Amino acid sequence: MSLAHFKTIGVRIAIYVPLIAWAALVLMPLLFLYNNSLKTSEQVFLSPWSLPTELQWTNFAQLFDGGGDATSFATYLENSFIVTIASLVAVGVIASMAAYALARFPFPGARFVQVLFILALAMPITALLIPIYSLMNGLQLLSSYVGIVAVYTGLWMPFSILLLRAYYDSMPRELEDAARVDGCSDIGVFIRIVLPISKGGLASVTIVNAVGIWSELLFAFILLSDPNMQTINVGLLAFKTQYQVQWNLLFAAMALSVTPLLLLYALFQRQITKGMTLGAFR
Amino acid sequence: MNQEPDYVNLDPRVEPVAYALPRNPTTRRTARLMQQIWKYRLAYLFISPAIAVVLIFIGYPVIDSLILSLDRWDGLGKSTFIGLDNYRAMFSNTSGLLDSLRITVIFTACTTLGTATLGFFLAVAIAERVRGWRFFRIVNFIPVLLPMTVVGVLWGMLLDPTNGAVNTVISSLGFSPPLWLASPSTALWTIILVSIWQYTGFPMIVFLAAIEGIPLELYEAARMDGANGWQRLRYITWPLVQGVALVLVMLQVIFGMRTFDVAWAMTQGGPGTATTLLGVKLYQSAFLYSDYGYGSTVAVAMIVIIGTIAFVYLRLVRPLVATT
Repeated sequence: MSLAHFKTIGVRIAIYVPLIAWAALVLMPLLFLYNNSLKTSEQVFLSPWSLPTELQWTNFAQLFDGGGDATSFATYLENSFIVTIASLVAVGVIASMAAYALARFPFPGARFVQVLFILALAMPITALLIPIYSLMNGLQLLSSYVGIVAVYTGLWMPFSILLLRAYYDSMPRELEDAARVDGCSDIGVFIRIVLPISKGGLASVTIVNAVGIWSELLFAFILLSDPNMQTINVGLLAFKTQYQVQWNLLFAAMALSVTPLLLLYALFQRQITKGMTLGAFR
Repeated sequence: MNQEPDYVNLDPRVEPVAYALPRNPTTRRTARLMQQIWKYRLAYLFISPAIAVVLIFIGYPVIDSLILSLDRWDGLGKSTFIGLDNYRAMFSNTSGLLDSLRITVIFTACTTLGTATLGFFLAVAIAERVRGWRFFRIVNFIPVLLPMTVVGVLWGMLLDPTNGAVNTVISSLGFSPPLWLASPSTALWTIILVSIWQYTGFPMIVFLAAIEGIPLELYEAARMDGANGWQRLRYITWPLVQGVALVLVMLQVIFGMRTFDVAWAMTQGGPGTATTLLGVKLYQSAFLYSDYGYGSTVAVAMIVIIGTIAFVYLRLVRPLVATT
């Protein structure tokens, strides 16, 4: 299985060079991050590239400890997990229902709704910040899980629906029709046939969304001013400005933010790349 | 022959029950529509939560931005209507908006071009199935997943002019290292490079899927005809992924124009205004200077610009890609 544009040895070596260079460029900062997260502050400062003489797991303990007026990173992590998972569930439920309606029922206004979602997808979310802030302020939902989860659910909706719709469109309908003939209701068809068959698509969408929501900064930064409600990336920025000299702790904090994403990628590498590719081809 | 029937079956499972339709054409059309809506009531039920959240969190903010852009508002008290003053201020020479726009366009153009080009060649290299191609595919995609905050802080440290790891290496080799983020003349290029580092994996993975979708017979046939590797790349691979390339470029342009995080995490728009992208400008006006009206005006400018690009994409580019 080789496309083999190029077979000659010289050219094949020339192919390796950019690949290896780019992989090194990608891995180098990550190794730098993990390496320094396990050193003392002096070691980070004096010899950022050397390996730690002794693994400083206490860096992480110190972050979780919080101590003084600093918020514990356990709180940040917990907030991130709660917000991300709740948003994913809400997006998954609402988007799969909407995508099913769009993909299977030619109801009056379906095209209009489809265009609405495409337009919504094109909106620069940065530009929505001020009205959403004042809306959440008016509803007293600043610094609350409900508020940020609702916002993420709305912002991630168009992308998820359009992607899932493309997935449903590509699914054969025979099973659904057969179930209908057997007297299964539309809701029954959705729950017992469509959802189980489409779980690959739903998984792709959910994992791609997980990466985006976990990393979201702008809205989390503005809507979550209470340190006890902040997600890990907001906490990280606050930590950076407050404790600029504690390099080792900053690296450890970054490791905490990155590790769940890398684990997710290690587990669901296929779904993530598939989901993102599907998004581009749609 | 094609005369409309005077009745419709609402539910195919309930056989002969027919509903009479009015004779008047207009009321007849309305009745037919109502029947259709009733028939698909479940679909409306299924789609209404999605429409609701999209209208609340995307539709309403767009309209509210338009309204707020005509006001002066400090975010706390009552807003006062000031007509087009914000727009006048925006287009005046001192506002810095045109400068912001220029910075955003440079940023977008360079990151789009950089990520698409690099991504294409990396994809071609991986599609060659060289030893370890799976490793390269998996590793090269990692930066796309990382939070911009982490990427920004990490590269900010690596590129620190005095004790950053990169400059330590450069000066030990005997070169005089650049100031990266610390100098207004290099800060923008630094965040462009960091963005290229982060997002190249995305075009790579998409190009790779496109290239892997090309039938191998095409390459075999070309080889029989004596086409060399470069010719096969130029005359088979490239034409067949052109459509995907166009889509990718449009997507990257839309993402690029609305960028906020990389500049915020690395430079907060500085030094001076060197990296004040439109997104940063909006944020600064509203949340640092408490001028929500003006911030909304910047938001409207962004919506118009990106909306235009998206419209061109949907109306002109996508149909073009679909037909080729």
